[in-house]
Amino acid sequence: MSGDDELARLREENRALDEQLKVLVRTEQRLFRSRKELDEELSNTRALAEFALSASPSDAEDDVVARVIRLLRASFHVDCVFAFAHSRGQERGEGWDDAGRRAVLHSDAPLVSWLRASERTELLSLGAVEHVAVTAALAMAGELGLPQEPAGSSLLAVLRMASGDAERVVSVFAWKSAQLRRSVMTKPLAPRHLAFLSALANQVGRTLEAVALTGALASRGSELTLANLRLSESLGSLTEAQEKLVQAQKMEAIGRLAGGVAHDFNNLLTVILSHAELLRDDALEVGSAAEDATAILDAAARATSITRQLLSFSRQQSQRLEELELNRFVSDTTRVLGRLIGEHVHLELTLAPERLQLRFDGGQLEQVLMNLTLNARDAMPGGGTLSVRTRAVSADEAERAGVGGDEDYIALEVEDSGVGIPDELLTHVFEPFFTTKDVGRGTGLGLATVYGIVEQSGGHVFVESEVGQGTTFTVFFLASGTPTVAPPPSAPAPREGRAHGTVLVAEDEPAIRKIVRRALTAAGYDVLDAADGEQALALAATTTVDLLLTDMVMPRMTGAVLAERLKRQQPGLKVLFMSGYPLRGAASGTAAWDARAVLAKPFSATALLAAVRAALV
Amino acid sequence: MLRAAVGVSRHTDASEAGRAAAEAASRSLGDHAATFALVFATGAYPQAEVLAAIAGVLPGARLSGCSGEGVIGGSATHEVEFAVAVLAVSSDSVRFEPFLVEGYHADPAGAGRTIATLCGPVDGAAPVCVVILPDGIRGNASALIDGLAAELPRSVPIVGGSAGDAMLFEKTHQYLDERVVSDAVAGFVLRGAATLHVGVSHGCTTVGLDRVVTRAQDGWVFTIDGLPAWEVFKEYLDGDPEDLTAEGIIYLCIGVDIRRMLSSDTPRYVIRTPMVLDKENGALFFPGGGIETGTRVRVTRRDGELIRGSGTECAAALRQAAPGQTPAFVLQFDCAGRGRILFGELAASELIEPLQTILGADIPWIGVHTYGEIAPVDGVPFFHNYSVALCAVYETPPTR
Repeated sequence: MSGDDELARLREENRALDEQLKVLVRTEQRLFRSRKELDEELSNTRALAEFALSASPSDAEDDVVARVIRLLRASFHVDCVFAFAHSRGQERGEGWDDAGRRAVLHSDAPLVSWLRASERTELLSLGAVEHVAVTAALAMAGELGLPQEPAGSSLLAVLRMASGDAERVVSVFAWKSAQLRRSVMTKPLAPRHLAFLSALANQVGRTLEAVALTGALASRGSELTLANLRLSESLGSLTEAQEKLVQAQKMEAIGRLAGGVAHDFNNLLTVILSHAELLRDDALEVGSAAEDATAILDAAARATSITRQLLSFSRQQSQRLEELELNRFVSDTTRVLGRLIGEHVHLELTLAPERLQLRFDGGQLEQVLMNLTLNARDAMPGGGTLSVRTRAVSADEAERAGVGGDEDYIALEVEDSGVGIPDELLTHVFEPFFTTKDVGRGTGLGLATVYGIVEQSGGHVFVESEVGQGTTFTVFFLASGTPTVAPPPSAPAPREGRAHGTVLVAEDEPAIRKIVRRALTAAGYDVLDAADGEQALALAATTTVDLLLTDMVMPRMTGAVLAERLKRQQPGLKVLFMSGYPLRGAASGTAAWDARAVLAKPFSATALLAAVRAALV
Repeated sequence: MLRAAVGVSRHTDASEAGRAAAEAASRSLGDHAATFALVFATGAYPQAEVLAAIAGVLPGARLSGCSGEGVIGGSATHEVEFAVAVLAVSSDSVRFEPFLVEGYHADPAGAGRTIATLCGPVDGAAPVCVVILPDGIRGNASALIDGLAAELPRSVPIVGGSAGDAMLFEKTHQYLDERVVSDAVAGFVLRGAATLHVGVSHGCTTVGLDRVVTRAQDGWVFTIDGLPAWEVFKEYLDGDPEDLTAEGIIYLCIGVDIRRMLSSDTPRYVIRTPMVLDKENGALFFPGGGIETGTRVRVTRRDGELIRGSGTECAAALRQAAPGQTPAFVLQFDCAGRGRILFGELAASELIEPLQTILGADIPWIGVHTYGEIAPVDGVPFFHNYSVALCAVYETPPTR
């Protein structure tokens, strides 16, 4: 082979090798392109995963969107990115970028119009975005101070992400500035880019939804907490009301028991008193017997006092209602009280400037004030301050105290700076025979009497105490209007003298019937006695009776019915009731009787004769 | 004493970015006021605002620099829309004499000669080096270098890089103090107690046969081996492309055989990248110049492994040139087509970290992604594409 041939062969071989090389180079380019795409996908997948992993339902919407903007900037090298949020039903939306620039767009802004007109939440890419959106986005960019591009610019992508059941839609606009778009490095979005953007939109949408739900959940949680609080308060009130009810029922039961016992005791005491009095009168000349009788009378008198207090507590004490002015009453009474409480206790009196009218039994009101004052004094053995205050009660205060309604109240407060009452004892203070005082120093009936009197009159009594600080008793009395009628003058005292007239005694208790007959007979009256109403009617049918002296409560026929029937037979008949209970018209089934026509048990022979004489006048 | 520090900011606001980058550099200098600042910024900023902000932070410093496709600062590369890097220098022993020569496109060689007039000896001492930052779109860089080198002693290295933009090839910027111009050559002359070691490497391997440019003029190459230049290129491009794409640009280049200029028998190549296609004529435009009718060329393909390997070798050579010394600062002029577009997110770890591992991670390090790199090969200055020019500046210890 010649040198030329050899050269030609080598050139041919080189050309063949060069052709092979070209194929290899082209193949390498394809491989490189594929690897680059794969790298890009891996990078995007990693970015997406990092976004998902870093997403937290507790994130703020701003933070989530800022991460999206950063991600778009990094993945697509876009230089114009901003977010726009619009809540359904609102007239304006808000836009912002990752540099913190913000703008508010009103409803007439093109972007808002476009977003409101479109319900779509899917990804909108370069080719799918309407021109109006492009124009609108550029206008928004101008609001934010981002680089604006001439008309005809196109978006890289619009990510629309639903948040909170699509009530709020967040859109992220991203595009390259004209400068970057013209760069030879910029290529149209490939399907893999759109897939990535779509996945990103879904991921961000889910995240924003979780953020919105978390917000809603937190809000519901707050509402629930509030409702629970209200429920707890309500349960507390209910428990308190139940405790009050139980306490009231307990007091009622104790009251009934005390009333029943007092009634029976009154009958017995009537017998004891009357017999002891007769015994004493008969034994005037025998010193020791008279003294014994007097001792019995004294003991019976004390027992009478106890039964009266029991009756007061059980709200069965007779009441003589009258118009009183609380300030004046307290002022008058405390002059007396001052001597009782001793010098070691400082008395402070604070009276309301206005008149505080009430319709009340003066004796019982005195008893209330007296008992509270003495109780306060005893709570301050080492001395202290006793404050007595009066005031009107506002509707709000009455409401707070749980006694709100149509009634008006006035208040009497008695406060001491004494030892106080422990919480566990506070609910028992109004129970009869409950006392913390030493044996022999208190009957345990003082506060129970206050309670009974006040409740009987339609009022309320409250106690507040703190150990070591003192105790305050607050009494709410029903207020009355200004009195317009002067109280009736007292009846003239009946004259003493030899008694005469026929008295029909109706009493089911034989011992009382017997002693009453004896006392009346001894005084000069003609006495007929009957064990019940029927017997009394029968006796009265044949005899004219001047006075019917009848027990109020008897078997088969009450004293009131008996009196009514006898009055029909003998219209001039005088009536005097005997009762261990207070006389109440409604309870007796008769018209109201003059309270003066009642002789309260227990009574002595003297009291009996005085009452009979008065009744016959 | 020569002190240097680098600050970087990616703030989108020009003033904020300039201020932040300058403040970061200034902080590192401590109480030492900057006497000079080298600035690289991306083209998206209003350039004058960046410089004004930097000047505000470094009031006594002269400024030089240019725009780039991206900036390098510290251990990171920032090929993004908005980034600025500032090298602040404080020295009483080393002088930085910035310059700006306009009218580059019209007379690149004349611009080179003008710069040469600034590089004469002072007190009998030649400059340490001259750094030039020409417009990367307009002007023939090879002619610039030739004009400058013709008037300079060969011992004065010519280094630098041509300014870029965001791969738009529309407009680049050159800086002097607070002035911003285009179609110019910015730069500075380095004098005083410093030495410079420079290396350059590309990341391309030649493919195919030796070829000869059969028709070329003013940077345009019309035919190679008698065929339209675009047809020759397309033979190696996948998919029968209709236009010159970024992918094509970074994949295929031309290796210009420089053995004749180096008086060497071994083929040596500098890389030239085509930037514009004349579809009608099938001609390719090479802004770097230096390709004339009759120039021997070969098609080259980029090679990622070679980029990594040659860059590392380059850094190692610099270290070997100054054993035991630590550079006062390093300048890196790296091709805009080698970073993000090739390595994506790994650009910094591929381009910067290997070099810093060799030269030192704590060295003040600034760079720019350029449209061309300028560095000598065997002492002869050349314009390169798809290369890295690495310049390590050392402070010379005072002699006794």
